[in-house]
Amino acid sequence: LILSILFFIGFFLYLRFKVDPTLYFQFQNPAFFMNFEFLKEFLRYPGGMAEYVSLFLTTLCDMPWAGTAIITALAISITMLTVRLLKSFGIDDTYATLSLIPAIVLIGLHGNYGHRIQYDVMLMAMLIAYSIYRSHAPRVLTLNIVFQISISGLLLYLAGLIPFCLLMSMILIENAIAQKGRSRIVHIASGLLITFSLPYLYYNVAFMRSIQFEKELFQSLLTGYTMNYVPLVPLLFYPVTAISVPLFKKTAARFRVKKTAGTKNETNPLLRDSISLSVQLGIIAASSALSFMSMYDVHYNRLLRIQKLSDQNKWNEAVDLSAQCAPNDMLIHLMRNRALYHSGQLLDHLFDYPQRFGVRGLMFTGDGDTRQFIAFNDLAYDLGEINQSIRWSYEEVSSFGHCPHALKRLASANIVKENYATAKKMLTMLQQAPLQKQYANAWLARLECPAVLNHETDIMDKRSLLPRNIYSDRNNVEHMTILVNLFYNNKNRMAFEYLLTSLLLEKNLDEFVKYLSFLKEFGYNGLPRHIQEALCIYSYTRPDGKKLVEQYPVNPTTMQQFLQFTQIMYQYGQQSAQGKDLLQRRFGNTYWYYLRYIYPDIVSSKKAVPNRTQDDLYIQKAGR
Amino acid sequence: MRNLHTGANRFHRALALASGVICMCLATCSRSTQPTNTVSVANTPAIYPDYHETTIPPNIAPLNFRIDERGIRFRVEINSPKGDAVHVPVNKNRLAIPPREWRTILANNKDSRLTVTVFALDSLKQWKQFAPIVINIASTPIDRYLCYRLLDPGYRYWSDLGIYQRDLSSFEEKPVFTNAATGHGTCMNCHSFRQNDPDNLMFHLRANLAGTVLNHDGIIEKIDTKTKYTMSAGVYPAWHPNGNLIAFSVNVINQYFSSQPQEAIDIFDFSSDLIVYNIAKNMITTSPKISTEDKENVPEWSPDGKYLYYCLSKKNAVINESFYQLMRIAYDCATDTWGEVDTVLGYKQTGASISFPKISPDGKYVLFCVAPHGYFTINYRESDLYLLEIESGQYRKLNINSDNTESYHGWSSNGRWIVFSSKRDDGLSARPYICYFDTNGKEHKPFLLPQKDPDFYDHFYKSYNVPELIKGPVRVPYHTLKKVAYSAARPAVFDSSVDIDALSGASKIAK
Repeated sequence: LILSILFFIGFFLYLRFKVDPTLYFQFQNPAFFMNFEFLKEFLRYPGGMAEYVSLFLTTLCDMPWAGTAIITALAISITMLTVRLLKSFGIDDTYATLSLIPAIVLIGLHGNYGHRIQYDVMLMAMLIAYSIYRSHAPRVLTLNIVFQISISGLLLYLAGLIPFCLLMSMILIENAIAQKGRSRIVHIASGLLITFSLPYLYYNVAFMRSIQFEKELFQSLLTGYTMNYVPLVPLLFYPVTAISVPLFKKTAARFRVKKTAGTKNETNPLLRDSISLSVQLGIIAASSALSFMSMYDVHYNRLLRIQKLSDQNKWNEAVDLSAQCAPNDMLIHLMRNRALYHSGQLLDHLFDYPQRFGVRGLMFTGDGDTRQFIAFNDLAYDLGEINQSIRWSYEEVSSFGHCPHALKRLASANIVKENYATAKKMLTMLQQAPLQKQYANAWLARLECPAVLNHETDIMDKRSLLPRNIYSDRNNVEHMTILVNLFYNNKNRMAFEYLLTSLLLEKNLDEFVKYLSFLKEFGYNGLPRHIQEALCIYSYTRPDGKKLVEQYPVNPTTMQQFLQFTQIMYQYGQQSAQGKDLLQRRFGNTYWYYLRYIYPDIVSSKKAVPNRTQDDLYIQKAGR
Repeated sequence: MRNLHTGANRFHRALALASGVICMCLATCSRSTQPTNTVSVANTPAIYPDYHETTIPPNIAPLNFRIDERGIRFRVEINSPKGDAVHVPVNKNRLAIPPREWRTILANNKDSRLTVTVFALDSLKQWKQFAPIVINIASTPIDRYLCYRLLDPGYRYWSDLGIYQRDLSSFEEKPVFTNAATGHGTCMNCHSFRQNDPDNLMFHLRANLAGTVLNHDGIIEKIDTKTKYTMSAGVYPAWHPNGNLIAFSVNVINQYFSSQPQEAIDIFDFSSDLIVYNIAKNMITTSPKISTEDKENVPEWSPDGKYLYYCLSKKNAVINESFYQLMRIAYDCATDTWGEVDTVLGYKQTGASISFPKISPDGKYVLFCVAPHGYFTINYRESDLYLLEIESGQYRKLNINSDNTESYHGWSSNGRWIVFSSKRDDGLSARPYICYFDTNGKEHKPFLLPQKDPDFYDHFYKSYNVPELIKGPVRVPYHTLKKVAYSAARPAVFDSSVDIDALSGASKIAK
């Protein structure tokens, strides 16, 4: 008991402070509504109730303490049921550590944000069903079979195919070991018949549900982990224990007989218990650590935290956190660059982080995967591309259901477009989602008197950014054209900075300098650093360069640094790895380094980037 | 003895209580007293859905509605010319009309009108009596079932999709087929019936398990209508009245995402042609007249089967200038010969683009959509329903339109009812509205498909897509359709006697 208490305190603290259940909510984006129509959808297919309950619990994860308590309570329940099961197998308290194995694996699984609470719920449902079977199954063969059908049929309906198969395997093993002779054969035959016929009836006759969904669910439970098959451990633990315990007992009994026949050499019981306790404690600690280390997803932890910070408009914190992430995820780039803009650092600190994805790390350039929908949606909304924001919200809905993020965005985007009826619809739906009522009611109240909305800064800002007179096939138009349109139409500052940044990332200086005249209009105090860096190159490589620098004076220190950069490059030779290392250390956060050494695979969805740009050659020339 | 007495007393008390409750319920449902000392209000109460002055069929489900007026209690009384006044139970502000009483009222009062009086008790304990809501009952029934596809408002991706049928005389809705049977990777669309006949049904499966599922008088199979001479598999269908032919358009469809403030998405076909699928021969044919370089689309047979109506747009028209006009071509089914193409209504006359022609069962009228451009009218807020009288060539905008989208529409088998999708409620989800079309060719105020819970549409976000009235339920078991969906599609053959393809180049087939 002490061991278990210590273990679950650790489990709770780890979940709360390391994993943070709010990030499950962030990752899984659950859509849950407190109305019968929503519940009805889940009653229509086997396993629907487990999914329904899991969605509800995942929704509550938005509250960190509640989320932690829920997951810990699930793990405790699973452990308690396991203890009961092991006791019924005849395992005494000496081996109580065994009952913690599923919870130890759950520690690791919950370190992965793709892990679904549905897994825990299904496991618990199976254990409850098996526990009921063991304690209440009639001994009379016919009644026993009827009982098996009832309980497994109910489990299949409520929790789905995976727990059903697990339950039937347990029942089969139990009957194969406990029964004898003809009774054993009849039990096994009837068990197998139930195992195969019930799912057939459920999925082909009774319910409109393809078994394909169960396959997909099983695959999704196994994928996304560093060690893919770990989720199988708790599933296999019970059947394996059911088989191995009786065998172990038999062997142990033989061993004891031999031992009693030999010399008597009793160990001190106190010492024996202490050793046993220490060994068990060591095993638990080691396996928990192993489970945690092998599956804790630090990358997604950071990514989701950045997303959360951005949702809370904590832009500086988002930028700081993104700096800790490896630059190999396009989504991180998208979120970081957006946070840089909002914190006023985009044109000063863009290249502090290696821009390996080029423009793709700044703008959405084509279709993305489901996780990118949210980032695309947020970015489109910020840029004032309301239609795009609506589009990506609906794509989000197709992937996650009517999740609060999409509903809130659809509501605000439609308010911006003055489609109040649609906005009201979204908010009415949001009202039914747990924890969202207050938000929905506040906006619904404002919608009662639309004039009030004219005092909402965010709404009015977005309205002022709405594109006018643009009709374009958004998917087949260069992102640059969109940015230019957005910027010209409404003097959209974000579109302007994104346009300049896009041109820098595309290494297109000739186009870039054409837009510098608008800097004054947007009231920039001084030239941002990366613009100065670009001008340094321009001044040395274009006939009108010097003249332009007179118009937009570059800080002498920056110019000095540029000369140093080119000198080092020249000194070490163009292909020198040593020179590149030195330049990265000293100038890795400059546009010069990006221009010379970073070549994103695809800079734009529409055009491939030449391996060496003209400016790259110019830099070399300037160095000489 | 004492215990026994106590037991008997308890039993009697319980019995009395139960009887009281039953009597109260009965009284509430029938003849509860009308509020006294009421103050009359000149206007009718605000209700949702709005059923005031609508015309309803005598076989429609109870028109439960929500009273959107202030009041701490409400009473509702239904009065009809034949029958007593009926007091309807009101749960807070929601009406729950007992189905049996409703059916009796409708059956006894065909061709007359109901008045529904709403009383509201205000916070000063004063009853207010609103002007009565008037509902007309037509004598002609509507086809009992409505079949539609339910889908989320979406763009490129989808998840849950399904074709459902609703019994219009009750609130029962059953799935015909959903992608829960096949996995979310399967899309399904364009369900179509032969002249409102539930035993002749087809729908397409797209992406995974692609093919056209066809139920032809109980013979169910999956067909692959894509051939090397057609630019796509069959898309928009139209059954010939003889049941053996289905005209399809074949299309190269593109989704456009617009930056324009109003319309977020547009559908534009790069090209389209028409083909005809012969079920008995499993053969696809076409004609140089309906597979030109221009874009032929959305076919529809006349009820006598002698004409194929369709919409036509110029081949090089850009998206904003892509206007469709209404055409028809004569067809002789017996000799399989095509007549001449005839322009029924040009886009220059309407000033906008024409789409989805639907001919009334008596062959007198064409009901169609008019939108600023293109043919995929569900995306246009401006899309409205128009009616053309074929004989006179006169057409007019129907007065059942709203400021929002009116799109896909269909006729009942007796031609007296029209069902159409409208986004008038929230600008987002298409809802089925039903409209009475009288023998004088006049449309009446439409009503929204009634639901048991009047709040249903507030929380239901899916669109009712392609509502089609059918005479009875689709009887094909779900698992049969599932089996067919998983079977391999039988490839249709292209008619070897035709020397033109349906690749929109109207090119000769090299033989």
